[in-house]
Amino acid sequence: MSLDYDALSLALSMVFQLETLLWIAVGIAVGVGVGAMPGLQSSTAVALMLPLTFNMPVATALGLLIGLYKGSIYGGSISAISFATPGAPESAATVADGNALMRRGKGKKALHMALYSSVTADFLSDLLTILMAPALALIALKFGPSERSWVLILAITLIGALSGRNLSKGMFSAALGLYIGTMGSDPIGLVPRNNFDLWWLRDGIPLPPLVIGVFAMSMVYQELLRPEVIGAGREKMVDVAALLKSKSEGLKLREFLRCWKEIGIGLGVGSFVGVLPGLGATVGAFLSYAVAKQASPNKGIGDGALEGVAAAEAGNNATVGPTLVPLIAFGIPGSATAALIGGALVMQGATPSPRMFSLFPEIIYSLFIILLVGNLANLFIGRFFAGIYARLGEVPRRYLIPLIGLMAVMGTYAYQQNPYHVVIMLVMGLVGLCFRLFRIPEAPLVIAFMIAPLAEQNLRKAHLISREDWVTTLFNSPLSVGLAIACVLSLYLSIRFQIATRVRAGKVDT
Amino acid sequence: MRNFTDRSAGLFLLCLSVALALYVVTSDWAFVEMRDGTLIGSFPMAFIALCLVFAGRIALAKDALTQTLEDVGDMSVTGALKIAALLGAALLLAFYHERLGFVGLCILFLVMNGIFMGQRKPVSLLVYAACVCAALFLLFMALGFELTVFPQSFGV
Repeated sequence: MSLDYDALSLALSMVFQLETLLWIAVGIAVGVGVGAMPGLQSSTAVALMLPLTFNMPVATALGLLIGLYKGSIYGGSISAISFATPGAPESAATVADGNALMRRGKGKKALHMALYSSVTADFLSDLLTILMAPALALIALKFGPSERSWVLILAITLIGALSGRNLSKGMFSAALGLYIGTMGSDPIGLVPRNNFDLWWLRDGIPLPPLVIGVFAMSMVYQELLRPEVIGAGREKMVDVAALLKSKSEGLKLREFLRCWKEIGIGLGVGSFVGVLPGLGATVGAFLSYAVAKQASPNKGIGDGALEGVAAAEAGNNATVGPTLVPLIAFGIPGSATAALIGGALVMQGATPSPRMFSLFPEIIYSLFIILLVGNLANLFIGRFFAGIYARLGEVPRRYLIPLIGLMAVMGTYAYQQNPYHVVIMLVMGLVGLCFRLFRIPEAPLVIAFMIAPLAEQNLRKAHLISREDWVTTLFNSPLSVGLAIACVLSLYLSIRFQIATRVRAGKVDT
Repeated sequence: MRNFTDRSAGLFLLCLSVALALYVVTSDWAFVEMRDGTLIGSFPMAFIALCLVFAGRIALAKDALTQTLEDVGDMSVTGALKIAALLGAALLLAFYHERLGFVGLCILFLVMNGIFMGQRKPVSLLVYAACVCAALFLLFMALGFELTVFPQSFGV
């Protein structure tokens, strides 16, 4: 795939204008703040901000959303180090070493290491993304409807299997997402179906009300069921503020360079995990932390070592760019946040697919440039405002939750000024509440919801091409057979893994 | 609500899936054949069948009776009433903010939810609601969304 210089120059002009740069900075600033608040996740922030992007130019919209994504993944480390309360699950691996350093009076070093290792791994993994995505898209272009159907089915099995400890719960979530994705009308003949005879469901369920309901409104409902104030004490806040004001204890270049091996492990593991649909930043962080601990047994990782912070933070931030690879190469979102970024692209008229490289090269280049520029913004904003962000962990839930509720309602309404979308969002919030209470992962639902129409379209096209013979539809090439075997293997391995986990848990209990 | 386990959750999801499956199979569109030879309802039916299978697996898993879902224990009639009130306020805001004005409904929404979340200081609550309302109003205006400030009868 050769470089389109005209598109590149257009992309540069789209990104390097004041409006876009400003919204990237806003995205990072809000994202780091959201990440620092325990209980709020990147997907919640992106879902809430998604409706604001509809009136923006495409590069500005991408800048805001990617800024939010990058910022919130890093931001979780601030409360993890400061209060031993991870702002988001992906920062949980940072708690052991980061908070131990904090208690030893080296909190500033830990916060700086978290920032520098996050930005370094994020930047390098973005370069990998830029190299990998076009190559994969070229391969994907050779796929016919049958192969595409199998890739989509493989993505669903991976998402369901890898998204939680309970395979059945992950798969139920994916199955429900597929079912919801069929609501409205069928994607080929546009015949109305599955709309409960409600006229406002005839166009199906749009993505923004679904994600805002599942991720944000469900949280508001749950907090109303449990009206307790969560957050660290005021004394802790004073400690952090004082620490960040102090002139000493900053991270030295020598100390940062000493952690090259752990940052490299985080980069490798995080990038690999990021490309696989359904895994995401939490797995990236824990896996690279575990690998670094094995690889450097003498560095005291787990007892307050900078290397531990570096491995965990590099591991989670290195997933950010690669998680977009399946989206732009195959049109399959690799994570809930990637699904939301894909949704934003659809609303801007650029549906993610392998053909995006030839149809909208300027958008792809803008995305790549924003991924790289976002790291610089993350570095500066994270560096200078860490003190303020540390305080955000203290915002009382009684102020935060009503604000999220209001943003959810008005954000959904703003999508198309349609109040019935608010009704859909509120109902999806109840679905999300059930998922939270029953500990069912939400990400498979959102990803499968986006995959459902694509899967149906491709299967039916393949069915038509093969003259309505289902065996030829499904297995018309060696690649289709290979992908089908991969689907079966993925399910088999995840079932084996579940059984092994249960057996181990049983042994521990006895 | 005590001892709500994965078994109970699975059974609840199974009932929900059965209801959706009944809706699909009894609908008048499900078995209509399209020009490409597939039924309109084939994909919804296949996906809801998957829901039934996995809900059943959640309910029948070996450890389903021992996996307790503590969060369900937080549910109470008061909590449910708060959610119902929130739903009402959200619908009022979505359907009537143009007619009744965004400012009043927004402040009402924030104050009500602030009280539900345990905020008992009226002055701070009102100041908070007014500030959030103003910030959100300005944000939406800056992004090109027009909101009605006061009730339409005021003519503003």
